[in-house]
Amino acid sequence: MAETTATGIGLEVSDVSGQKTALVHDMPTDASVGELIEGLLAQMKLPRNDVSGRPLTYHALLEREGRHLHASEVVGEALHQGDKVILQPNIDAGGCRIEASGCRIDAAGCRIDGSGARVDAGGRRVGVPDRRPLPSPNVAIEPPRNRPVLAT
Amino acid sequence: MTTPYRYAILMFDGDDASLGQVLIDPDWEPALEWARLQALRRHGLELAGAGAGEPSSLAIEPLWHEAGAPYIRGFQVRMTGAEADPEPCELSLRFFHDAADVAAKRLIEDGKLERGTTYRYAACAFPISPDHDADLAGSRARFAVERQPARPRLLQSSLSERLRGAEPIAAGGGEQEDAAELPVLLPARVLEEAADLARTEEGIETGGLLIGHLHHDPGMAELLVEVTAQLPARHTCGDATKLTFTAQTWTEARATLALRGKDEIMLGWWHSHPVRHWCRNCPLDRQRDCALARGFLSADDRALHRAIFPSAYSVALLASDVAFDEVSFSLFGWRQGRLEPRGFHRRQGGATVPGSATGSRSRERSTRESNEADAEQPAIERLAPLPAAPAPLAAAPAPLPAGPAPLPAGPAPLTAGSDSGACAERRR
Repeated sequence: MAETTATGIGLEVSDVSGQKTALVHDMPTDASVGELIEGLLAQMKLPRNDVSGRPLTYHALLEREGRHLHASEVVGEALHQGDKVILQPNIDAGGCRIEASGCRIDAAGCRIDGSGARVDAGGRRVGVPDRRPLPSPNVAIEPPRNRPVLAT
Repeated sequence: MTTPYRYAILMFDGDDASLGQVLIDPDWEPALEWARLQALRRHGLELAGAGAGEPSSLAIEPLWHEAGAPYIRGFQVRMTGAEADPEPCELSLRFFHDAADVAAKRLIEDGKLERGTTYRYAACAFPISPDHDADLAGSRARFAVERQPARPRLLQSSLSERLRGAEPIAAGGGEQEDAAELPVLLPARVLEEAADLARTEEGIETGGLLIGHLHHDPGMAELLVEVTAQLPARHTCGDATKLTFTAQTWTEARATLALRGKDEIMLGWWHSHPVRHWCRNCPLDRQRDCALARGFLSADDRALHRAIFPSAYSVALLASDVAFDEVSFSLFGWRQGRLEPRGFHRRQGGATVPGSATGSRSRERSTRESNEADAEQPAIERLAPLPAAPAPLAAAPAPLPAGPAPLPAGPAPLTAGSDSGACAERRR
């Protein structure tokens, strides 16, 4: 259970699925909710960005009140000792990226066929980019005799 | 978690000429979760109850290649402390495949590696000074966060009884499930409901959550993942190639779980690929051979699974709605820290979920061509096409919870990035 300290409050934190949980100790009461979330992402090893590098948007659900906290709210005003907070991202699933050979779909829903050509809604092929596949890895390498050193 | 080593990938072209060294900063979390799962399978809650498996009690150590340091053949995750599992969990170099792939793409961009060629890589570990961790500690937040060990609810059960009568469906359409895999039990009813939703949302991706129980059989020293129901994801934003799960999606799912009152937990998620829409401009015979028709997880799908379902028992179910055949299902799960296709057991009906309502419909096993039955292919299950009338949606009750307050009118985004405002939210 979270403990009260002289300098801040204690909280219970969970990710969406409840598979990751943490206790926050000494949360400064003058900190913002945004600061709380920012610190939790790092400590709980939650991703900050999507696969395109765009920042994910996380919301903090305050279980006691059943509402999402605003990032600018002050911890000492919005949260009580022992409150439970759930971090909830807006996050995408999607079939638009197939890196291997074969078809893929762009964001507009246009089909990219196996040759890399874009096929528009009228069935016309637009552009023919490089069709060669990415290299394939082969891990079974016999290490060279000379010893590598850590690059600086 | 401690790892007093810095890891690097050495890249070589097809002639074994060196292409250089790439320092990597692996995401160790899936490897740690894999190690925790192996301990959980062996010991049940004994270890978790004792606090072992906490992130602070896990150490990653290189496994040196026979050629000697700094070359490695893999690494091991070892629990430390008095109550630790004495058996370390070994992971192979396969864990570094994705890092090598990223390095290869960078080399292609730099013109050092040709597209279409084969490259090879080796992994190395170099000891680092204790100051390295101290530097990182200096950038931490001004409050303390204590990660807690995962303590999933485990039901004590006989796995043989649970699996009796269930049909094993292997990854790649083979006849047997990988014996080393954690068994997953999926009711046919869940597949039917997902197929119904995938067909109903024509041309738009849809999805939901998989909920159920974790069972432990002490006699067999094994776990079982039993999916009991799927909860359709509400408050999502979807189009032909994307499905955004919003904060409201998760809030409502939690409320529904609480309302069901069955002590179920989130075991994973499912979503659809509207392949018939993607490939509408292609003749059917080409669609059959298209990579899109085979079950795959995109980079976004994998990132979502990593972010939301990091525990190694979690699964991702994909429903591919193709024009030339029935809806096909592919299951993915964590294996050695990587998300890979896996098999499952299908149980007829779904008697553990009172209240779910779909009529019985004909089903048949896939008879895919042999070239699709390679090890990289997930388990595939096909369902008959839908009737014209849309089927009922959820197994879960629909009303909003009475306990928690209603959804907020204006949740506050934290980051400066865009809040996917471009898509229109769909509410069912």
